[in-house]
Amino acid sequence: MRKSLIISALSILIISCNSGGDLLEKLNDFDQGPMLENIGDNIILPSYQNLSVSTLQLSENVNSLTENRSVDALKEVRASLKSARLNWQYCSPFQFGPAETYAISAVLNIYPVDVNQIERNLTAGTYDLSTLSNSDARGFQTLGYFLYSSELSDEELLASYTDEELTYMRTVAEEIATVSSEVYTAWSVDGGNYIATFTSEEAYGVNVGSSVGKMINAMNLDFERNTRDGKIGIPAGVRSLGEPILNATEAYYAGYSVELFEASIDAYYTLYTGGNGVGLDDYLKAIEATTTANEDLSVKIDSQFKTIQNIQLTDPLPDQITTNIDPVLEVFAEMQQLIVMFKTDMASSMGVVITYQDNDGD
Amino acid sequence: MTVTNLSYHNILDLLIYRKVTIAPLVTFRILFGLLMLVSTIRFWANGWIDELYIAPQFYFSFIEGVRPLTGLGMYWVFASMIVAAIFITIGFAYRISAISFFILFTYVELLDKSNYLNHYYFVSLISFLMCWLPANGDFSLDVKFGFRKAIDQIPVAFINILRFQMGALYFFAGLAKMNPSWLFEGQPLKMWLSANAYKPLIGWIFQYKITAYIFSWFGMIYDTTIPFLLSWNSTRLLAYILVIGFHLMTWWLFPIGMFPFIMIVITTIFFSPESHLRVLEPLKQMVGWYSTQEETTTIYQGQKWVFVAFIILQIALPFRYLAYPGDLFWTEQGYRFSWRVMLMEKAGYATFYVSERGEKKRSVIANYEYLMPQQEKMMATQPDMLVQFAHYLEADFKEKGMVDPVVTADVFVTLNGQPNKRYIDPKVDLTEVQNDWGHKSWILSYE
Repeated sequence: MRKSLIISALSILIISCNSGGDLLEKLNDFDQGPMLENIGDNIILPSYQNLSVSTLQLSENVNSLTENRSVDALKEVRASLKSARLNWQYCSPFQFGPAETYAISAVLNIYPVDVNQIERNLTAGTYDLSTLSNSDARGFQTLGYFLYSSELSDEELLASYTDEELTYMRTVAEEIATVSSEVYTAWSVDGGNYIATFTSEEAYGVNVGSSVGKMINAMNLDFERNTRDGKIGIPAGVRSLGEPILNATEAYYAGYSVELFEASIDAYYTLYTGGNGVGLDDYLKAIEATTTANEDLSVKIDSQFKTIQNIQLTDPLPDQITTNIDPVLEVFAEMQQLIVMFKTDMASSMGVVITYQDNDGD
Repeated sequence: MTVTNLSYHNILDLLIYRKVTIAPLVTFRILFGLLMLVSTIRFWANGWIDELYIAPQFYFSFIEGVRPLTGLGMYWVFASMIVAAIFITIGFAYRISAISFFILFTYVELLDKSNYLNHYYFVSLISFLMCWLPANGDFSLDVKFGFRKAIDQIPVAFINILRFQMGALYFFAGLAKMNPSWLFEGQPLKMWLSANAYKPLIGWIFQYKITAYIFSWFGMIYDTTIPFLLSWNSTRLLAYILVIGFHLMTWWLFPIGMFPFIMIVITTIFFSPESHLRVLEPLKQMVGWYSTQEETTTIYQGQKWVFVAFIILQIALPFRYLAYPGDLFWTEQGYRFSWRVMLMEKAGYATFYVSERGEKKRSVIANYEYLMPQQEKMMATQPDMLVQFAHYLEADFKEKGMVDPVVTADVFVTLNGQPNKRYIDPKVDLTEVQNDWGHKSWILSYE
């Protein structure tokens, strides 16, 4: 009797599935290996390497400036600060593993900086910039605070530097370079070889601790907090009843916030498409469950990226916000749409067990 | 007894009054106590006390006012649970230990809906039942120290009530799987299983659609029939092998913690009282246990009514969703406490807006400033939690000086791999909405 029950159940199953014949079809052939290798070898590792190289250059240039106060040296420092910041945008989505261990983001890019805290440190003469209480008195923006002035000419600015200020800049730049180098070393094959952990078969899947799980969670978190809110939302006043907070912009003193923002979106787009290799879009394409007859999720996300990229913002961002805030709010709204796709459709269809903490499910 | 002889009284006798050895109740007590001990220690060791009950600044409590204790309070709660679990196992101060465990465990579960799991609900129910059962009647320190008399025989109802609870879990879980998405689209298993295709040995089978269908149908048939297969002598052994296989498979595939092991271990309650005796006797001899005066106990009127009410409630609760319009999976009205286990894949994203009443300027809320990631994730797909958070924001903004905050939310949800859809009416002022038993008309329809 039981046998006949099972047989009839199976036949109901086969008859009832309108897909009938293609039951033996594969759901997907997607292999995470090549994707993780591509993202790890061709995107993450070079990004941290670029950051490490450019922050070392920055630190060296700051040293040259302290030895030789010239406009050329000042310009070189500014150029290397900008290139380090741009390079950071391509690392920011990958704040898991070594980046988490060394809390790199808190060292490099907390903003707005606390000018009073910086001045207090200078007055005190002794300070430990590695402590958390100094997290908003260090990093890129602290250098920006010293390197740019809205009132003084370059010559006047150079003349105004005290020895303490130059030492402070040197300390900040060294700390940035040190942490960046530590994180890169931890990732690199010759160093901590985290790249091997990231691409290893044990880290396949989507459970807690899997590479895809870590990467997606880190990426969502960074996109929401840093790219959407930090770079655009908070300065535009979306968190403060529409009252803009202009000095909350990234690179407030240097004035190239929009450029950094565009780099950040580009970094996300590169991660999504995998650059010239296998990326998240290929993953989504391979997972049949996500695609309905008239809507392909991978295409939807792609065009959402393009919508964001097509909205024109102009530096300096505070001016854009005060004179014409509409495109800024538009960018925010479109990023909001993108994060909805990331956190609902994408997370869900990738197999879901992407959890945000290792709790039991049911 | 032949089937034709089954009169009303015979059935009552068979299910309730018939005297059997107390052995199954005793092994159940020991196993349940040990499982709870391990679970509680594991919870502590994973750092979840802090993560779930100390670190958050806001809790989605089931009952208004039931909040975590401050300071080291929650550690004391879990420490007491550990002691209670040990005492249950060794049968020391059993009644008070069982009651304490039930109260503490249930208290913790009521603190935050984000952490609701059917298996926690199950543990609460089992520990409630344990309060009413004389599971310390033999092989316990209570008997050894003479706190109570040893019992030899108990009415079979004491065992059957536990079997009922286990059976209800399986049966209703199976019933819930009888829905078009599960059976005819193989969802959400298609999504969940294909994510396991990388696994060694048999991972490759999860690449195929048919595997999702077979697992879906097998799961449905397994859940609905296993209580009966476990109840019949002739099928019990096969059924128990299925139980082991099924739960090990789910443990291997999904992050569901202790649940598979709890089920494998305590499903043994379905084995005959005599087989429990056979296991217990050598154990007793090993520790040199001997019982003197042994007595028989009966079921009291009070116990009977508690069990009857319990059974009625357990059968009614999973059907309460019928009182609400709309798609159950979408609205989740009547979803919890119904053994809907691993049934759907749902993910959402909620954006809250706060403004002063009558004014246009509004703030977009950064959920992460108030909620833990897990809380945010759970809230985004469950309407009553959206309301709770909106009320919290109302209070928070009032504290910050706003006179009459209006809180709205734009929420998008994806269900079983369908493209995300707007979930609730984005114009509804959630501060004006209350969480009650009524239908939430502001949830948009799924169609």
